[in-house]
Amino acid sequence: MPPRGNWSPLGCLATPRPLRIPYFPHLYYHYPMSGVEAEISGAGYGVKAILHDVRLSAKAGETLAVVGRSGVGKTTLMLSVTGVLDNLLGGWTRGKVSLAGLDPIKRDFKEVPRKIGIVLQDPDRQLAMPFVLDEVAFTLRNLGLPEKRAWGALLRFGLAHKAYAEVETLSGGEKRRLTLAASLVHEPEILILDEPSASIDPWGVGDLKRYVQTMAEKGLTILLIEHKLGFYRGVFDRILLLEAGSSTWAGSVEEADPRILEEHGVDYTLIGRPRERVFTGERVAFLRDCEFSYDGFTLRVDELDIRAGERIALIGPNGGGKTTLLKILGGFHRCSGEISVAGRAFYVPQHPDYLFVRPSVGDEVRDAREKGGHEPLGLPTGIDAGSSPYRLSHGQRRWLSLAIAHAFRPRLLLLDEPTTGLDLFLVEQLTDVLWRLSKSGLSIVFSTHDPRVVMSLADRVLLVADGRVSEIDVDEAISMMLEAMDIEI
Amino acid sequence: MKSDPTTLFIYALSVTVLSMVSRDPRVLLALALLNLPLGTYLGRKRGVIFFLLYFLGLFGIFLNSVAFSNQGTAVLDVGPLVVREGAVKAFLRVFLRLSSILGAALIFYGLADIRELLDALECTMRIPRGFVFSLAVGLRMLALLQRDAGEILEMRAQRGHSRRPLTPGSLSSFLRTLLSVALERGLWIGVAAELRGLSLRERRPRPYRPGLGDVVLLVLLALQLTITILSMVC
Repeated sequence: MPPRGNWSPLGCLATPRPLRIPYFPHLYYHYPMSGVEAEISGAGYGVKAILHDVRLSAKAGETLAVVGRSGVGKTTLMLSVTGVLDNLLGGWTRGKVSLAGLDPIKRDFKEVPRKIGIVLQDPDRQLAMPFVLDEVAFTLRNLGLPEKRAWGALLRFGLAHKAYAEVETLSGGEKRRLTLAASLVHEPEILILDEPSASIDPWGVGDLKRYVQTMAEKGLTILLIEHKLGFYRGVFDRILLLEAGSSTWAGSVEEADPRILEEHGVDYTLIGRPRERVFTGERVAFLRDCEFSYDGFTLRVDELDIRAGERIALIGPNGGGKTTLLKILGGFHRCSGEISVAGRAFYVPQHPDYLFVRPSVGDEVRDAREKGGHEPLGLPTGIDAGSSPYRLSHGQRRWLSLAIAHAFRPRLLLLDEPTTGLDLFLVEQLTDVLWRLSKSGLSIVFSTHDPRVVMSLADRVLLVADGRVSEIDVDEAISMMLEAMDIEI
Repeated sequence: MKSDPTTLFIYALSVTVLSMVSRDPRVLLALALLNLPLGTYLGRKRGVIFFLLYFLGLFGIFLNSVAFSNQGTAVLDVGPLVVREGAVKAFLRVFLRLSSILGAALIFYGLADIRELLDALECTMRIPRGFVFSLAVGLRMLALLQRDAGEILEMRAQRGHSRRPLTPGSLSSFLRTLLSVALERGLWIGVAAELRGLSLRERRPRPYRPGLGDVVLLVLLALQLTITILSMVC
């Protein structure tokens, strides 16, 4: 970063005059200053320690993937390393952290934003401004940099034509690109990405991967927190494995053993486990010449039959109409044409919190039993019945939402991106449960951006894009998704 | 009618203060009649969430009035619920107050260019950056809250609960989910904003240039101010 303000080698004796330094972002990017070093012997909130013994080292220009199961402390590590845990969230960190030469925990927290760019898992939990241009200019204005630079960042991430659009009108992929533009516009030395592919379609993942790769090639130090490491093969240089709040292994990509990584919930190989087809042939639902329009968007389904026990994956780009189709089947949207669902359909939203109505997990289960008329699916051990559903981990919330749905014994279960944010173990547990339920005759329609889930679970695949629904072969769908992500297996 | 965000902010804030300090029902009625119809017209497209919150608020006010001011002669007797004169008076007073505030908020929200507004708040009016940032996030969150509220109501209906949260229990259940989602989102937006240098932000100058729209609003405000002062003096 060029020095700001006036400067003179003679101090107050000389007349200060503006120092003009030509600014070449590409040159700057090729000469990064420093990386990240952390030796943390403990970190957490109050008396609860979440991190115990973590040694993290990412040299300047290196891309380090931080991996491990859900709940091992990856996000806490990110918060600790950036100083947020100690300075904003009332937590604590014991140990030493050096972030681009700064001490973020004690004296230099205010300077951290000049050195880092950060991309969080869910763009809706990061984007603060109502308009696209303002979102990028926000970073620049905060740091006292010229706001016209925002246009360059928007151009670079293909968002210049939407500069004055409201953020809420962007698709999921566009929101992700906007978070990247806003995080990189001030040309930081370090980029921190916390599960950046969680909410975007395969084409978005492909774009994201290319952006990250370009940044890595230009010498940016990158910390990538991710379950689906296989999505980023060829992008990162080293891996840090966390287990129960401690770093248990660190090494280069060449040294990594995919089996050990997968034993720790990290999906390195991206190979799903195909299961037998179980559907019986009895028709549970059908749609014919169905059309539904809202806000200038129209979804059209010419014909769709769903049989008992079938597992149908809906794939396609963000904003293509997958959720709309699920909601039509769930009876939330009325479409023109013929539609029939034999028995009950139950829709589980992408954000499980929307489904909760009671203050505790125990009350939720009782309410589901009472209103649904059946016993809900058993919850995994470790969930306290007295705790608030909103305090559970993402995987636990997802499980609770499925348990609630099961209490209603639907004939048709509609799942909106059920594996978002889950690690390999949780994805496998979930697909196992869904497979067992489908064996008992339950038809499942689920939207997903994850080729592993299509591989493991789908009997049929519907491509939903630009408001049209067309059936494609399962293998063809998987190849299409992997190709979009730029992944070879 | 284009108005400078500074004028709009001063107008909305002043009407809110006037409706809070006035106790005379006639003044409150005048304020409500001057603001609510105009606000409803100007903010009808963008301010749907305000109406939703307004009706939720009215319901709460009614319950509050019945619980704490239910004295005097009975006005309505429906089985176990007896509504008395005191409750009606208390409800009407707060209803009129809330209507003028809603009207002013809708005028503000309907006319303000959000980008200019945030700029004006920070640079012309020198409002602290934390407040302006909260307002910006709040404006973005309005759209998200609207989406969340729709989803939550649909999911409630699916689980066999009322789609319209009219009882205290269902209202608290609906709001608990809505607020939990919003709070979690707000926390992370705050963290991300701090990591993008919010605390390093500095102000830059911005001139105030009033136009015809500003004059109309200021005259309307002067009228309301006069009514309020006269009611206090006479």
